[in-house]
Amino acid sequence: MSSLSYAAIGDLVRQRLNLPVSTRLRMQSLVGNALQRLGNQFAQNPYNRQYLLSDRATTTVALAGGKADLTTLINTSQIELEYLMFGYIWHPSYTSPLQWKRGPDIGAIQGPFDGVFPHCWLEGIHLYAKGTNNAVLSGTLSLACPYIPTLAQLPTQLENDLIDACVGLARETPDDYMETPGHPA
Amino acid sequence: MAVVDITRVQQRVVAILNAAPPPGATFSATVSGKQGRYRSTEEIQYAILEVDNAFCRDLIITGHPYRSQFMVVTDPLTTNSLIPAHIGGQGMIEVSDDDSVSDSAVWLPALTPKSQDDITTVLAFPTNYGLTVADSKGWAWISDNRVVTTSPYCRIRYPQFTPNYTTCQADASLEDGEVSGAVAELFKDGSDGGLFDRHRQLYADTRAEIRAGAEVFPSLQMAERQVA
Repeated sequence: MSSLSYAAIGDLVRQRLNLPVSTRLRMQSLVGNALQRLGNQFAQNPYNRQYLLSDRATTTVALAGGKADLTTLINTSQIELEYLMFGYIWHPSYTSPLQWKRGPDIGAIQGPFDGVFPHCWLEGIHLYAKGTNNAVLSGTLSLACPYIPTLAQLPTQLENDLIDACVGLARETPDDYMETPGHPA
Repeated sequence: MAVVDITRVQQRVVAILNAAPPPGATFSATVSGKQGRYRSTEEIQYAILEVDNAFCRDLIITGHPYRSQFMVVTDPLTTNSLIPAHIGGQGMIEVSDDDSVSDSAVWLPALTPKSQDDITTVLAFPTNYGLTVADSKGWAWISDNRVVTTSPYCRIRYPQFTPNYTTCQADASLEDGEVSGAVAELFKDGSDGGLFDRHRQLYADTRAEIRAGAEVFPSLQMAERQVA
């Protein structure tokens, strides 16, 4: 995992942009958003995605009445709801992950393989899960799904991608981040 | 560091002003009292020390390398503390490496951001700049004689100058300037204009020489940075 600090990243970013040391604090403030951008970008790429999949052993949520409220996982584990279907969700009763269902009839009309595979679908921040034969599931779900890493969780291999993301954000900022190069440090 | 020898300057000034005319001591630090315009040794001494004070102020205000002898450091200051009154520009701001004021703390130069607002923003929203205080500490800014810092403590090097009316404080290399300055200061009605003009010029030359090496202080650098 990365051992870079916000300060070290701020310094690398400002050097990449040929900005003086005085701008380092401003570059540091980009790190949080850059991590989010990096998480989104990696979730969209099937190969890169594997770097940032949550640990199924610790990313768990309890089912209540056949659905799980993901609020806590969104806030604490920073799972990405929009990319949840690119990950895997397990129920302890089955060895294979749940199948994703989508469409306007989800949960209302039985699909062709709903009796064969355990399946799940999303409604807002609630994850619904049913087993084979459309049995409503209970217990705990385990998730290996895309998430936004904290700096401490970032794999070392992605450090350069994070710097790139910070530089991108800095370049999008139409103020004096991009002041004249060569300003006295 | 050797400072100007007031006795030697006094001897020279007394001699130039002919304040101890023969017969008697012809190269003396004290006046004989027989020369009407210069009847007091103290007057000559004070003139020398006034010139010495002027030189010291020049050294301090311009950031001359001799300014080092006047530099002291404040007690540890927290953010928004007032800087002790002093003449000349503030020197370096330092922050402690372990955020403490203990004897083992090592004081390192503080970093200067783009503006004071950067510091204010860090203090208001620390988590935007890192997960720990360590990520955003070490920055400081001086404005209106106050210091703001992202570290728990900082301290400031600044010149401390207290006029002394018994001994000189300027570096010995300025001794000739002090002789000329004191003579120029002692011009009185009826004195020989040519003699005083010459010494006034030498005095002015020495002060100009000191001021020629003027440096830019951190506080001015901060002001420039903010408007850049």
